[in-house]
Amino acid sequence: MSETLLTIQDLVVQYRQGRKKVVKAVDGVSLTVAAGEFVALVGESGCGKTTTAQTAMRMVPATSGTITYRDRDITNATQREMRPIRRELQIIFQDPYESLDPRFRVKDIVAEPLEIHGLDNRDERVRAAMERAGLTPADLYLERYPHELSGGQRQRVSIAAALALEPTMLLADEPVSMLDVSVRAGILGLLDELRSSGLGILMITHDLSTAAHYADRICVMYLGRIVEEGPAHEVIRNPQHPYTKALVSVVPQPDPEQSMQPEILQGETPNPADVPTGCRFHPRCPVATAACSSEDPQLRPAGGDGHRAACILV
Amino acid sequence: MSVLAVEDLHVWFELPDDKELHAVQGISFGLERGERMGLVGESGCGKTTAILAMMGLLPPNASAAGRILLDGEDILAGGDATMRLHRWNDIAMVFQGAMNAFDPVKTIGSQIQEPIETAGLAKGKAARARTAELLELVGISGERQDRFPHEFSGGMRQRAAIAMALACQPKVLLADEPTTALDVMVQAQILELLVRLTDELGLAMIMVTHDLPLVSQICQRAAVMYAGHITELGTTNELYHHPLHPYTRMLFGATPDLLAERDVVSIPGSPPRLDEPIAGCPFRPRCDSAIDACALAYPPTRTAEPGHSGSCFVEVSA
Repeated sequence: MSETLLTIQDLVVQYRQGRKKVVKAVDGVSLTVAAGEFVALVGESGCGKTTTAQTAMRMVPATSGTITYRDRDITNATQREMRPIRRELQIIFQDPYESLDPRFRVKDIVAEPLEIHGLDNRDERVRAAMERAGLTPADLYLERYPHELSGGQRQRVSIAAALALEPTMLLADEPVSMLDVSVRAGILGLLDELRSSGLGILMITHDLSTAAHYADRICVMYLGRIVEEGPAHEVIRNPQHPYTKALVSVVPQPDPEQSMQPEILQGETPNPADVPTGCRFHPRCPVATAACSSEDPQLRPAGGDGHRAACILV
Repeated sequence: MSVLAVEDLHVWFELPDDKELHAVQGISFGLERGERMGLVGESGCGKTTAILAMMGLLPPNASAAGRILLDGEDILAGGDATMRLHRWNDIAMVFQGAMNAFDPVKTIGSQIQEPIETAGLAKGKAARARTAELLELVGISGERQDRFPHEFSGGMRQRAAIAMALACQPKVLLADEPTTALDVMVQAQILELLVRLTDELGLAMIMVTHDLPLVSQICQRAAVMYAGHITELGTTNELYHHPLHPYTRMLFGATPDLLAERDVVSIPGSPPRLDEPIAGCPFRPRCDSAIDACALAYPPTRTAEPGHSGSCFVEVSA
């Protein structure tokens, strides 16, 4: 068994809205990512997937629960205490058009984290990181500015900057959603290579097809909770939670002959400021029973191999 | 007769320093009543420019040539006056990001009412009633017309944007990336709505998107664009199962498929700049099956079977 890198246990993140209202963006999430493992956290906008990832980076404070990185409890770590952790745990943002400083050359963007962490041999490290991120030969890119690069190349620069510190794990928040279809596979393939080389990857995405293709495990979030998790293949081929079933059913297939039987849920994800009683999915659930409006289901085994779902009907 | 036919449409932009960007380089296709056609390709291949030309909404530094026939009448030849006559009344558009284009200080209803009154279709109470009817058509209760945009979710604003495009009962709807930025479940709702509207109203639709699976599921036919050209045109079935152009095949190959366990392979490189002349086939530098001939001339368009054509030296003849 590979070493567990990131452990999130019973994480709750809440915000105050006005005087009395409390919004629970994340409401009891537990997940782990091991070295050499690719985990996808999937869900619709507002389900809390990005907040979960940001809490792991201490960009957002946890209200309760614990976050551990390689046996170090970082739940309440100060910025200073986070420094060595951030060397190991790096994040890649969604938009490579916005996340790179347009006034910096590629070599300076990739070298910046090295400077902050006071590491030497910067030239060597920058080159090594760029080659690892598929910007080869590095000389071709070192002196360029972001605007001279395509979207895919820019995202590789972000990845190179993350890799410069030789992290053990990457958090990738929708790493390809701003990119053209033709180059997405290249970036995802790169993340997959990094996983093979031993990095842990936690990818936040709303795209089930991508998760199905690249992740080892998928966690499906709905309204601040993980409602289903398991091996990617199992979750996609044999979904247990009615929400996952509906999500899988509406993903368009490239083959027009694969006629879909979409199970379209009406309405949109409810507001986390106003979570329904019982199972939070029950008002939109096509198979909800009377019990679902009072009983709050916990994740429990559904099928083998760590496949679990939070539904009283499974 | 096709409700919309485009023949040899060219669009070019005048750039500073006497440069020109040839964004659309002679595209042709027809669209039947009630038909849904996809216009697909990567960013910058000319999809949006082509449909803006059909709406007569190109920016001032752009020029268009060729023929755009609406029920047989060449609306491009008639100039601005003719375009204005048909715009919204016969051919309408849902812009990319339309759901975010509502004026935040006006109610949704008043913004839909405006084109109805401008077009002289109805006034006052009647226009209000027509607005309610349009909202009901897209699945929003007519009573909600007095709400403001911020009171609507993204999906509802997109529905309202579609209602607005339908205000003057057009025959052709051009939808530019109508579901990007929407969540999967809301995307499914909007697609279902577009299918229902085209079926019920006999409305013809062109859907511009970079998302091939989306087109496969809701369009009967699709045109694949690359560097300003239509590289392949056919039914979605033909495009997926018997592509004539390597670009079509490679685009599908770069698209992950939820249930198929095949490798997903990205297409190397990126689309060419269109402000410089390109010798030969513009896809050649990225193509996996280019031959010497590809460097010399733009490949001729060949028809494999009626309605299915592609422009490639290699695969069409194979």
